[in-house]
Amino acid sequence: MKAPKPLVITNTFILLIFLMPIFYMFWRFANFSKNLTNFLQSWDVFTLLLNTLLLFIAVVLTSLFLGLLISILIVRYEIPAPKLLFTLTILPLVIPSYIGALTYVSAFSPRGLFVDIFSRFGIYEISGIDGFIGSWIVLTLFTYPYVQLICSSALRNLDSTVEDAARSLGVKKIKMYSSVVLPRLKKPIIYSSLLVGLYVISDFGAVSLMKYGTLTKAIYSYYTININGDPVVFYSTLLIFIALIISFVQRGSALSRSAKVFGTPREVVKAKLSYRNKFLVLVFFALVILFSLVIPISVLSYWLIRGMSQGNTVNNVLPGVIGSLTAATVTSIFAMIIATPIVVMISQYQSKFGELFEKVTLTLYGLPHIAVGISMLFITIKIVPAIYQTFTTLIISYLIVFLPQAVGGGQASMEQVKLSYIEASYGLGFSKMETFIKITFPLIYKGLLAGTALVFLSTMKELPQTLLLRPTGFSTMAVDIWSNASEALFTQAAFSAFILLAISAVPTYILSTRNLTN
Amino acid sequence: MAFENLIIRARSVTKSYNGETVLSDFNLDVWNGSIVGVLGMSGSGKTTALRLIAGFEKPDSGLIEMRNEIISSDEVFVPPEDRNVGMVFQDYALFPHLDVEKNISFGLSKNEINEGRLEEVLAMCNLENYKNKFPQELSGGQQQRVALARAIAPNPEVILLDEPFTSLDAHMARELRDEVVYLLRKTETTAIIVTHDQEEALSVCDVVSVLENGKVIQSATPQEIYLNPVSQTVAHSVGDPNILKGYSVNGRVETSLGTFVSAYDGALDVSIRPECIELTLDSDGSYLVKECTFYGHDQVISFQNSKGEVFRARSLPNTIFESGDKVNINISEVTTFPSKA
Repeated sequence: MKAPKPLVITNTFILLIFLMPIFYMFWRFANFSKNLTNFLQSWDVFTLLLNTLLLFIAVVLTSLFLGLLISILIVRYEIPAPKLLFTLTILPLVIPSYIGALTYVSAFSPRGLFVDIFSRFGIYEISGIDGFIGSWIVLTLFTYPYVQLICSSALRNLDSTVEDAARSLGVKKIKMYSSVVLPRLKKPIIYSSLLVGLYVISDFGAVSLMKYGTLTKAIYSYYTININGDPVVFYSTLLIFIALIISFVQRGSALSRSAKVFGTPREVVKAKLSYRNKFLVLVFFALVILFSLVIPISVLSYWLIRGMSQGNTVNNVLPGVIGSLTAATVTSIFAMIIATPIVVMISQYQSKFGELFEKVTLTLYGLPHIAVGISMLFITIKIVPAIYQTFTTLIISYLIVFLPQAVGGGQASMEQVKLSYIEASYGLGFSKMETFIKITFPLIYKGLLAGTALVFLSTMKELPQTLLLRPTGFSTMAVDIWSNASEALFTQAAFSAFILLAISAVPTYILSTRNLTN
Repeated sequence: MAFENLIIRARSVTKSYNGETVLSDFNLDVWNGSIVGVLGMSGSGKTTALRLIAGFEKPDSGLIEMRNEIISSDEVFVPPEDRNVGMVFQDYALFPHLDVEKNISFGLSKNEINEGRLEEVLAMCNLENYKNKFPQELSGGQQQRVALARAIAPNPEVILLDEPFTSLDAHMARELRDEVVYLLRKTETTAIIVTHDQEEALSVCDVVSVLENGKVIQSATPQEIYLNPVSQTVAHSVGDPNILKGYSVNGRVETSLGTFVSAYDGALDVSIRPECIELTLDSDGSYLVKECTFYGHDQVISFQNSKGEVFRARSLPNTIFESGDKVNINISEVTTFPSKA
C-alpha cells in the first residue's frame, strides 16, 4: 500500500532536519581534510582511540560475563528467590553512569564513606579508583543489566528440549552450555554487547569524573579551549563514525522471534544445585548487588545526611529539578507528536521508503550525544545564530537523539496492527482517517505513551548535550550533579542525585525492562 | 519371552508438578526389539512418562530399570547423558546452529565417525543430499528424519518418540510412519512411541499401553486392545463406539438396539463399534438415516430409532444411503462393561 503524499513529505522533512547534525559534521570534516595529516602524526589521536577501544572491550567483556552468568543462574538453576534476585540485579540500570561514578569517586575522597569506615579500623591510607580501572568498574556495574535483560529473555524463549536432546546424546552439562546454549544465544549476545559498547563509547559523565581520556572527554576538553577548533570537529566525526559502524553491525544482529513450538509448552525443569554451590551462587549475587546497588545508595545517603546536618536544603537544587522537569516535559510532548506519523508510516505502509525511515531512526539512536551537541552548536553559531544557546536548540537536540525511543515504543505496539485489520476496516467501508481513529490509534497509543515516557526520563537524565547547549542560567539535575561532583562538592551533588533517582528509578525500571524484553 | 530381554521396566512411577498429579501409578514393560505404544489423550501424562525414562526429570517415587539395572529409584538416579537412550522430540529439537551432518554426529565419538557411522546413518535415513543443510532449510518431514537419524546414530538401547508425526500433514505423516517403522524393524531397534492417535498406535506397535489419568489401564497387543477393551475409556480411545446404557438380568441385557448376552448382571454399558452394525435399505425398516459422511474407503451413517436416539454405523462405500432412507440393522459384535455410574 502506498503511503499518502503529505505523510511522506512531512516525515522526510522531519528526518532531514534530524540528520542535519551528522551531515553538517561530515561537511565540516571534509573541509579541513588538508590538515588531517597533522592530526594523524600526533600521538594524541592514537592514545585517545586506544583508550576508548580498550574501555569498550573491557566493559563489554565483563558486562557480558556478569549478564550471562546471572541469566543462566536465574533461568536454568534452582536458586532461592529468583524473582527478587533478578529485580535487584537489574535495578542498577536506573543509575546513570555519572551518578555511579560520583558515588565511587566520592566514597574514596578525604571525607568519603570508605575513608570514614576504614579509619575506624585504623586504616587511614586508601587509594581511590579512577582512570581506566575506575571507568571500567563503574561502566560495567551499570551496563551489565542490559546484557542480563536481553539475554535472560532470550534464554527463557530458547526451547529447552534442545538441551535435553544434547544431554540424551551423552553430553555433560558444562559442554552442553558451550555447544548448544551459547551458540543459540549468539544474536542476543552480539546485540547486547554492542548496546553496551555504544553506551561506553558515548559515555561522557563517568569517564570525565574518573579522569580517563577517551574521545568524549577529549571533545569536551578541546571544546572548552576553542569551540571552533579542528580537534573538536575531528574527534566528533571520528566518534560519530565509530558509533555508526557499531550500530550498523548491531542492526544485523537484531533479534528475531524464536521458532514456533509444537505441543504442550513445557515448563523448564531447573537444575538443582548442591548446598555448597548454592552458597557460592548466593555469595556471587550478594557481591554484585553490594557493588552495583548497596554501595552507590549508601554513599549517596551518607552525603545526603551529612549535607542536611550541615544545613543544606532543597532550595539549592530546586532550579535544576525544575529545569530537568521542564525540558523533559516539552521534549516528550514534541516527541510524541513527531513520532506518531513516523510510526504509522513505518508500520502501516510496508514500503522501501518505510524501511529507510526505520533505519534512519535507529541510526539516530546510536549517536553519541556529545557529538550531536557539538554539531548543533556549530549549526546554531554558523547558520541560525538566532537560536544559539536557546531552549529551542536544546529541545531539538534532545529530540534528535531521543526520538527513536518514542518511535520504538509506538512501533512495538504497531506490530499488533496487522495489515489485514486495516484491510478489513476498508472492506467494511471505513475511510483511511476513520480506520486510523477506530483501529490503528487505539492499538498504538499505549506503546506511544510508553515511548514518550521513556523520552521524558532520558531527557531528564541527559548530560553532555545539556552541558553544551543549555541557555545561560538554565540548569538540570544532571548538570548540577556533574559540575558539583567535578568540583568535589559531593554533598550538593548527592542531593540532586538522590532526587533524580527518586523521581526516575521506578518508571525507568518498568519501561526499560518492558522495552528490552519485548 | 525371557526376562533378560526386558529393556525397560517401570514400576509404580509417580510424578506431580506443583501438587498436580501427572503420573499416579505408571507401569511399563518394554521387550528387546519391540515397538511399544503409549496411547493417551493430551494431558494424560504420556510425555512426562517419556521424560522420566529419558532422565530429563526425576520421578517422585517408583522404580525404572534398564536391562535389569536400576536407572531411577529413591536412591539411584542415572543422568540422561549416561542412559544411552535416544529421544525424538515432538518439535524435533534440532540444533538450529548446526547443519544436518553436525546434528547427526553430535552424539557420536571421533572413533565412531572415523568408522563411518555418520555416512551409514545418513544413507539409512535417505539424508545424503541434505547433509549440509541447516534445520530451518528443511521441510517438516525432513526435519523429522534428521531427528530420528540423530537419535539412532549412537546405537541407543531404546528410542523414545514423542508424538513423532503430529506436526506433519496427514499424508506425509503416513508415509514417514511407514518409513520409520521399516527402519526400526530393520535395525531391530527397541522403541517407545507416545501418541494420541489410535490409528498410529494400532498400526505401528507390537504392544499398546493405554494411559488414563497417569495410570496404564490396559497393556496388550493392538488386536486385544481393540477387540477386548477392559473399559469404556479404552474402547473410546481405540475406536469410536456407540455406548448404550442397559441393565442385565440373568446374563441378558436389553438396549435400544436389541437384546444382547452379557457376562455380568446389573447396570452396564454396551459398546458397539460402528463397523459392527450392518445397514440394509428397507422401505419398511424401523430406523431412519439422518446423515451420511463419505470418506472414500468407507462411510459413516448416522441413523435414529423411533425414540429419536442417534447411532453410528460404518460401511463399505458400495451402497448409497441418503438422509430419510429407511433401514434395518444387523449387529455382529458387542462388548459390555460394568456401568461407571
